[in-house]
Amino acid sequence: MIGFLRKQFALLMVIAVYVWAIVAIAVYRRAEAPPEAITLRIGHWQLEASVREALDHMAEQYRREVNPNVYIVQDAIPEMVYGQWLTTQLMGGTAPDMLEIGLGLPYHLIIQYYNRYFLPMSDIVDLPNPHNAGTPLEGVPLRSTFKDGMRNSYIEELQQFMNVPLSQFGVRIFYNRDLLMALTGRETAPSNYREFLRVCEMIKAHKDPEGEAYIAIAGSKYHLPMWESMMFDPLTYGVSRVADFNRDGFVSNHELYVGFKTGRVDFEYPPIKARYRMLREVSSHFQTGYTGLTRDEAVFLFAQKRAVFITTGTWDARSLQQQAEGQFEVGVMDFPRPTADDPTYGSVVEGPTYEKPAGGFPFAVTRTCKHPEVARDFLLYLASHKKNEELNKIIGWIPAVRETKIDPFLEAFQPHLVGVYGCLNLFLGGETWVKWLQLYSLYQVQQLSYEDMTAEFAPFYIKHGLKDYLELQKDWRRGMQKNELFLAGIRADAMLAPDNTSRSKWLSYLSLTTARQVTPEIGQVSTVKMVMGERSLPKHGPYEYSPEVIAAVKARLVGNE
Amino acid sequence: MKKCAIALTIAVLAATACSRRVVEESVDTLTATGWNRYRMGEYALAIEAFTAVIDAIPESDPRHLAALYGLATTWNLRMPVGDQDKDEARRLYDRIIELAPASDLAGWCLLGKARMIHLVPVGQEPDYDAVREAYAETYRRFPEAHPGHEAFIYMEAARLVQWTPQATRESAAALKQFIAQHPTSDLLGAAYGLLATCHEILEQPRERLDAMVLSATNRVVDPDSPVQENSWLYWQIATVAEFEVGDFETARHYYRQLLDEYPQDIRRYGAEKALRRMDALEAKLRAELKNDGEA
Repeated sequence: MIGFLRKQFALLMVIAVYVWAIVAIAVYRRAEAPPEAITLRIGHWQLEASVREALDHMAEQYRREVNPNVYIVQDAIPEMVYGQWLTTQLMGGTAPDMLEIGLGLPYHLIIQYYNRYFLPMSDIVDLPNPHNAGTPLEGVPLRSTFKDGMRNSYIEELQQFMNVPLSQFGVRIFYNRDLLMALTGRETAPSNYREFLRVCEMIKAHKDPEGEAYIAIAGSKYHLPMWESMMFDPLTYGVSRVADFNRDGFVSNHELYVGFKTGRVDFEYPPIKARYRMLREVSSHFQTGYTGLTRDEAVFLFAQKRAVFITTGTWDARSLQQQAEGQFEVGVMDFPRPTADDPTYGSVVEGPTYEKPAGGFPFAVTRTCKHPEVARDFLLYLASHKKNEELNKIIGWIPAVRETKIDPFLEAFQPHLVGVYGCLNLFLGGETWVKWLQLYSLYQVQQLSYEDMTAEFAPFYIKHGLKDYLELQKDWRRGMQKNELFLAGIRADAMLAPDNTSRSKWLSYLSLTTARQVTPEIGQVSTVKMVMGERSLPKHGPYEYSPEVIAAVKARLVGNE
Repeated sequence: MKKCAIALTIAVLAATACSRRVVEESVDTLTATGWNRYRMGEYALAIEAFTAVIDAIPESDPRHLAALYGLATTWNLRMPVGDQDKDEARRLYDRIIELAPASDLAGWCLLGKARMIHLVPVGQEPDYDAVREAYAETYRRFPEAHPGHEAFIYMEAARLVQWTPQATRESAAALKQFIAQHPTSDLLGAAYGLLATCHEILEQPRERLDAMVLSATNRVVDPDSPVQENSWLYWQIATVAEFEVGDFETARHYYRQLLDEYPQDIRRYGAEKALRRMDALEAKLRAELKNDGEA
């Protein structure tokens, strides 16, 4: 017997561990839910305690109010490994019943995964959410109950709505109210840009108990893009007036290049100059070496009461509050703006930054789900008027559903639906982009002046930009081929569709064909001709009145009077 | 032994019969499966599904042609490009045209062949004369069908890319004729859109604006898609009207339409500002006119 045990020890160990694993799983599962219950697993990357707490709370409520036999089990996976985990689970057929989508995978893979592993939601988006009965959204089609009309849930490549969004996100400035009061005597943060700079100066003038100067703004390479997109880039909106040649409201990278090449715009153009000046002014209040620091290092500085301001999104709101609990009060403010009479920025600042309402925290139901109707119903429950409000209140996020109340702490996060946006896209790929990144990073750390940076970059950009632009065009032709592949699938869908849906499918096919294959080719040729200088540009900018137009308006006024 | 052989034969025959029945029953779903595989990027499985249908039913059956079309499209467009077999695709397209020359499918095959000439590999330029001729043939043979209309639109777009006044004038004439002959075509909006481009190239802002307005009126938008919309088109029309034509009425109309239909659009700020700007300019010009009159 002993001889047998010795000989087969390894095998017996494997068997023992296997049996132990089976027993352990059975015991855990039993603890999760009774044997006859419907257990639904929900996977996401939100490790914040408030998210898990909120989902558990909503699951409990769902069991109490809707279906006592449903148990929800969460798989909260760290961000770093979410993409790999998702892929493994989906491919192995062991994915949770509901999954949060969007992190850790390139877009084309997300599309493929949606197609292969998830159930479309299109059949319910035009029906009312049954859990909205008795609320202001009773009888309203599901997609119209969301602030963004479920735009982000619609995957054009599949022509299907694929997920249900549960929250919205925004970026603002958080500040330490107590420290602000102690160092500046102010109860609230300034909304005026000049005042904000003055407050930053005051903060820097004070020293902490260790004798080190306080830091006004905790920055890092993670946080800088938020300052750029929310505060600096919108100053360049005015570039559109001289360089939006195709009149779509935006300035693409090639339009900007044409603008520079034809001398219609340069780095002396006030909106562009203002953008970089503001960056220099604001970032001079970040801690030294911020471009080499990570998000956690900046948050640490803020949590340690060494910095007064930090910018981040709603996703960090509760975490920051929890870190500050018992130590200081956290306030939220909008990005400060210069006033119209500001001597430097008054002529270029136009309004707040436009923020597109977009649903986030989206969940889709997997094809391996044994109870897809229950899973969908649970998501609809979370997306109902009252429950979405409640869910987001617990988490500390903004509800995705219309006519819901927002947590007072997050009032400053109400999105600006009327505003301006950046119109300075210098990206042409290749050498020019590398050159720009080199120079810009030196400018960020104040090793290069604006004059030196632009004097070195502008001629390089104009000279080498054409080559980089033409290289980019290869991607455009590749895109045409991918579009053709995609459109053939849509056309087949229309050909095979039953009579009652055939018309809608054909319309979809034709509109996509026009938008993706017909119009872009002409636009492309037009742009290439502009870039190559083979197409003359009008004397006036696209949003500037010519004398002829003024004369036409005048003539009409005379005619009318 | 003999009994065993008979039993085995019967079993094989029964199994074959069953398998035939299964194939017969699932021909329609197999074609749909083939397309689904195609959309998922599983081209080998798509080819397998289409081939199973082709092998199972005779050429005279329309479902056979539909599967042939699926197979041809897969060979034509599958990714990566190195896996494509354009010759095989062309052969299959030709076979469909030969078997059912008057069918819509033949029209799609002709269009497919024309697109093969148009969509050249990266780094090459299409032979636009050959491209236009291929589209013209599709339109000539199917002037009243979807593939013919689509071919016509592609043909005129391929003519416009020359960006010369002569080609543009010819294109404008052809587009006007198409619009007159096919007033209910689903591609009427696209035709007006191209006509607007003609007038843009010919520097005729008033005509461009008129064509843009008609393009917007006739534009096909998928009602189920929340991402297909007209906001950019309204903005374009309004700004052309305001800055190129000086037609403030039309400009106001489309800025307001943008605000009404797309209140959350990113261009809302610009549209509101434009409405104020036009009012201010008119007020200024009125004052000038008044002063001139008094003087």
